Parts: sequence; C-alpha cells; structure tokens
Amino acid sequence: MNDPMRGLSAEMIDRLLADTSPYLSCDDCFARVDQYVERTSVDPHYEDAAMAAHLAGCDACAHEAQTLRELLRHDAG
Amino acid sequence: MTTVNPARSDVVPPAEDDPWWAELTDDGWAGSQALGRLRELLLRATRHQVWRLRDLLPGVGPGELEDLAQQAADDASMAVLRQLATFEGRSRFTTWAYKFGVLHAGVAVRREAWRHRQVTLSDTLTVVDTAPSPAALNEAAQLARAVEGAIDSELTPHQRRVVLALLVEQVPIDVLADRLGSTRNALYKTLHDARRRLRAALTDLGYLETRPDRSTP
Repeated sequence: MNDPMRGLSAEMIDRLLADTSPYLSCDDCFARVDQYVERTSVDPHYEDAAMAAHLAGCDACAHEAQTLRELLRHDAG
Repeated sequence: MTTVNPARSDVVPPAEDDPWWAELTDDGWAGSQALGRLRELLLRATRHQVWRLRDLLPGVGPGELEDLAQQAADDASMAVLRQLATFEGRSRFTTWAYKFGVLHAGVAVRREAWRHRQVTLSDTLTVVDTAPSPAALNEAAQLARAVEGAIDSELTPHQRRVVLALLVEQVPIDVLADRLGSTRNALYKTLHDARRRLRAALTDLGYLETRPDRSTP
C-alpha cells in the first residue's frame, strides 16, 4: 500500500488532471469497445472522441481495449 | 498440465466469422457444438488476459492461473449467452465475444491480487515536506501544491476518497467497487466529476489553459 501522506508525482498529477470529456461511462465503453478496436486497427485515423477520452482516463477499460487489440492482432497472424 | 501462456495455448485461433453463433440458442446438437466453440473462443481471450496480467499475482503458479482463466471463461460464457440478443453485428462476433472474456478475466485477476490487501479510504492528502527548498520553488512543485490544495478545497469527501484510492493508492476500479458496494460506472462518474472540478480550479489559478468545452460529443 502506498503512503498517502506524501506529495504527488508528476505522473499522478497527469492522471488527476486528465481531461475525460466528453463523458462516457464504463458500460458505454464496454458496449463500443469491440467496434472501436476493430475500426482503429484498420484505420489509425478513425476517431471517437468519447472513447479516446474514456480510455485515457480509465485504466481498467484501457487495459481491456489493449488486450482486445492484441487478440485481434494475433488472430490476424 | 496446460499453462495459460497464449503462445503455447492449445486453443486454435478463430476462423473468419460465419453464422455458427446463431446456433447458440439451439437446444440440439448444433447448439451444443456452438456452445463448445464459444467456450474455446472465450478461453483463448481469458488465457491471454490472465497471462498478460500475471505480474499482478507474484507467486501464483501456472495451474492456478489456468484455473482463473477457466473460471473466467465459464463466467464469460454465461454473460455472452445472457447478452446474445444485444449483438447487433457492428463488429465481428468473435471480437464482440472476446470482450466478455477479457473483462471477466481482468476482474478475476485484479480481485485475486487484492484479495488479502486492505483498501484504506483516506480523504486527506498531506504534504510531509513543507520547508522551502529549491525544488519547492520550481514550477512542477508549485503545480503539485496547487493540485493538492484543489483536492482539499474543491472535492467533496466522497470524491476525495475515490480519487485518492484510484489514482494515488492505485486500487483497481472494480476492486474498489466491490469493497464499497458500488459499481465501476458510479466510481468512474465520480472520478470524471472530480477531474472536472480539479481542472476548473487549476484553470482559474492559471496552471491550465482554458480549453473549449468538450463535454458534448
């Protein structure tokens, strides 16, 4: 367990001040992540601002999206 | 013993989608075949995720990791069957199903990693070193102080506890939801609202530039 009685690191400050607008819930992210990962895999310029903001601000969803991306990459050979 | 290393997995990667998944609701042989195929697909996803997160479980052997992957595949299979009617074909079925496996395996690993760890909910963040120093005079240190001040003055006690647990103590969001009897959705909304307050305060103080409102898609 970290000690909360100490100053904030630069990384923590970045995470605290992350701009997560437009808002998207974790459930909505889950509903869209399969489509988002497929589209961004074939088109790096594909944009979904709400998904991008959510994945930048939610570690668990971001890790899940990354794992899904890896699975698709492995399937593609 | 089978390990969860995806590179050595005995689960064959799925072929191109065909309508096999439409048989999942069939009560006969075709349905049984489809369920088996779904279970294989989900096991591939859960093994991959468990293996990816294995560093969260130091000392846990391949057999226990495999058990976690198998259990998560069972849970994910049930979830897929419950949600099957919501599949709209906006992605390949395999991709849609994979995400359930990834979710359940991730939750299982994080829950196991924190099973014996205490989650301390603090609503205070106190800076130990208050003496002036060269470091305290630089821009980064001033920003840190401003953020700490905003956490103290701008957030509600509940927001402070959630923010400090998730971002400072780095408690996984689903673990914190379990401990608080809350949901991942509710905690993320609390975090989002807290971040907006912090950003507004830091903008007022001149540490952040005013940005266009991105609150609406």
